[in-house]
Amino acid sequence: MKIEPFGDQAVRVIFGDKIAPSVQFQINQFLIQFDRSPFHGFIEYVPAYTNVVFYYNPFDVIQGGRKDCSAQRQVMDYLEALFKRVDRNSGNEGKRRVIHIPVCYGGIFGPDLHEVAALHHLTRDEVIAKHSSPDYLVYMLGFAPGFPFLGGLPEELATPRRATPRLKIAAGSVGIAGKQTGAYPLESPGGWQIIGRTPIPLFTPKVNPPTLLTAGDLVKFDPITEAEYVRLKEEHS
Amino acid sequence: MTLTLLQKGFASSVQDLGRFGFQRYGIIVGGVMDPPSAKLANWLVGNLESAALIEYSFIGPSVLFTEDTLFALTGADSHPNLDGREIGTGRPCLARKGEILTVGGLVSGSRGYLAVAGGIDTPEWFGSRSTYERAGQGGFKGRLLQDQDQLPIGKPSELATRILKEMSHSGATTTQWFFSFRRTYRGTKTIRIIPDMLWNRFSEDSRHAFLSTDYQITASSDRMGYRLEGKKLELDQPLELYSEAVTNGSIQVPRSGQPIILLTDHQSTGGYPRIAQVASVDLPVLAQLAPNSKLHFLQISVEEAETLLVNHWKDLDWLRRKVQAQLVSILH
Repeated sequence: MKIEPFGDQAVRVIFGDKIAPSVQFQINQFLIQFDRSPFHGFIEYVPAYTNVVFYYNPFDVIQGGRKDCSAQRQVMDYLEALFKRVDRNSGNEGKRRVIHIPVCYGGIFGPDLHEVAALHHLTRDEVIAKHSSPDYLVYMLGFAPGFPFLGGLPEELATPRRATPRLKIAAGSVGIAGKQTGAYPLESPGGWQIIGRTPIPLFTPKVNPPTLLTAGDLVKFDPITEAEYVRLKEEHS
Repeated sequence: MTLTLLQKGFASSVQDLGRFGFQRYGIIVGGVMDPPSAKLANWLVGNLESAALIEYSFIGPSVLFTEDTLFALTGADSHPNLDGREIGTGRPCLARKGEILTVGGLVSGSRGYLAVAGGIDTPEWFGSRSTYERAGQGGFKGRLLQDQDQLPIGKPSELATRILKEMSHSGATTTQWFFSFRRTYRGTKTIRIIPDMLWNRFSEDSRHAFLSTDYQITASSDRMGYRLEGKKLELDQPLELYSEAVTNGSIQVPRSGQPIILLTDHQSTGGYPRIAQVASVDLPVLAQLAPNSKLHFLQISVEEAETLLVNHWKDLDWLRRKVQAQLVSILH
């Protein structure tokens, strides 16, 4: 573990240099511990693949701490001490939340399913079976509200982005870009290969937290028919 | 009570000091681009500094007041008038029912603020009224303001109510005194930066160019960030980087080699290499610079940056008390 300055109002705590479930787990354990005893002046943290940024108000840190030492130094010391405590107590890989996301693959919802299948010399059904079999790990959210950065795409499905990005990709679209897979919470432009769409919202502005997923969750894509898509879509609108 | 927008100005939106605590869900902080100016506007009308107000860029709005209203303009300078009377900026002003405020084009600086006593009272979304356009949340209906929008106004503070009555009795429109940060936006602006962790991975030529040559703000710049143009910046060798949290003032370098400074409406995460971080104390000035402005980056240490910021906040607190005292003096 290493702590680096990130500007004058944040520090970055680094847990590893490779994307791995064990690193994500360590980050989660640390944040659970941190939530129990945040420091005075803490604003928020943002976890990512290998590190977490802690934002703070330096004025408040100094007010609640020492006057003879920079706020950044005090925050670093606090997080370092906390890390040592967590390290000693860390147990086994705990239970993760599994979120099932129904997906209608192909057809109008997944215009690129064909192309992805053809590229990998697979049938349409084989792509669906391969894409819907793993438990994907949510490493982080970013880019847009509720947009998950998922790990675990089978290598044989890795597909380059489209040569020409689409100007409009519907909310709920499930796609592949390189070694990544994910789902768009909002309508946006993008170059992902779109293979299906989910009828359930990933961004839920009236609920706290306003997103279906949180870092550390596992995601399972469940194939559904068009009829089921329509029914679920109605249920969620 | 409401306020009617006759002309929206440019990119006008409802903002406050931002939405904190939700970046881990991919939800941006947002908020005003120039917090000291926004705070000053709120103080001048007896609001808490966190009250929502209108931010506009380059061209200010025209507003019809439907009740007697205490308001203040801060940030970029313009020649505002109230029903034809010049009123100036940085001071509390009284608009009578039916009067029209015309802010007009901004002459120095890029962003201005209109605060009204009681604040803009649109619904809060996750603790803030800041407009989050992309998600269609916060602000007024989750979007930029349009002509004819009617914005709800909250209940003015006790102090604001008394000042409004006093000015109403005396027939005053505004005060002799005013507050100004006395900033200048002309010429090449020095922006202080702290090298990022990847600083040494940029080529020596790039690091040298970054600190010794000017970078110009291009026209493709907005609340999300400023795209700059200048000497190309390059890594010594390509790096595989993963997405991670980025923040206000992060200077990232995409493959084009032309740096981008992330600002208030930046996404919560990014994956480009970052060469440096703007010292927070210089962000409000940066937010006021228009396209074509030239920047000169000056390297300082993170400890210096923190000290500058803490002292700046202490100065602001002194200003807050000074404004309070001036407001109270209106009542005597």
